[in-house]
Amino acid sequence: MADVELEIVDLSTGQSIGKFPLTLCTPATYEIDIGSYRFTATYLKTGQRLEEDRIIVEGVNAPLTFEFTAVHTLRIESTPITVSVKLNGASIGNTPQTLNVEEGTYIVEVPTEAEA
Amino acid sequence: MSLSKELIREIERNLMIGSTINGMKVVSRDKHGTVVHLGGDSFKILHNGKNQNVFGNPLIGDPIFGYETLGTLYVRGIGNTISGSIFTCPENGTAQSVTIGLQNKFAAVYTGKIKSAIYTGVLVGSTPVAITEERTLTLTAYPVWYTFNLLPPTLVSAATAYALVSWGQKIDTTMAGIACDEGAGIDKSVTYNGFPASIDWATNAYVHSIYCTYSVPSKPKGTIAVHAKLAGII
Repeated sequence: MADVELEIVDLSTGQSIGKFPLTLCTPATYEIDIGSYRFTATYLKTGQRLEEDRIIVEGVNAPLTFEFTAVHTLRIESTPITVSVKLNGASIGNTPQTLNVEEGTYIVEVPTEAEA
Repeated sequence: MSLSKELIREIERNLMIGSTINGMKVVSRDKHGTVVHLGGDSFKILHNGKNQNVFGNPLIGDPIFGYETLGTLYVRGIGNTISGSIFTCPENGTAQSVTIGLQNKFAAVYTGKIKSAIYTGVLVGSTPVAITEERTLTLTAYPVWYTFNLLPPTLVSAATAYALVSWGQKIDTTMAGIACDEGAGIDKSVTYNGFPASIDWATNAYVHSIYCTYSVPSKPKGTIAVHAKLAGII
């Protein structure tokens, strides 16, 4: 299953020449008419979009790299009861919670048994 | 010629290569579809119950200009009459062929010589740009596409008007006819021979089923490798 959707738009006509699936860390090579194009890559897991305009010249062109922000899944569950949760001091609702978060350090707060 | 979905499925599933149904002959079948020959240079590609494509002899995908519909309203005789319509070529290219929707003009079957030409798209003093091969054809009661190769292929220019015309013999009481619809056309009564060096066209109210297939040089291409990754990960 594709991780990224790549769209290539011909800037001289405004027409999309296609949408192509991409897999992370697996380069794909495209052969297209010379001209100016906008390459837009969408990371499907998060919706993050990156774009770059390139002039394609005859022959082999310099490679194009899109670097997306890494995300991880943070799952917060509680037992035996549902409790409210704070993430970095902000309330995010009750358990269970599934969040996509960037790589980093987070403070997860749940009530103590007495508070709950 | 229209094909019902049921007939297409019948042809796809049950008809062997070489068999004929409703005047159509099954000529090949592969994973892309079943090709049937309608007569003349006309074929259809059938695939999954759908009528995918119709084409004449020209290479599929080559651009054309002209009237690419087989007219159903009128049949104009081209026996000893040069007849066609004026169209504008949309881009620079090399004209390769002219394709014409032909049938018998009268009830009697016509077998005779037919050829085509491209003239400059002016009504007065129109001159030949390119002339096709001459073919001897036996026509049918309904129109089918026939393709005439230009000898030699000839450059055509963007935004330039060209007259695409057909011409045939008149043999006894038989004559070739070109399929037409309502529109604009041109003609000139001339005994079948070599194409005249200059013609002053008469106009008529028929758009003729005739089109030119041309080729355009392919653009140079470049390759680019696209790499997607997550930050911090090689």
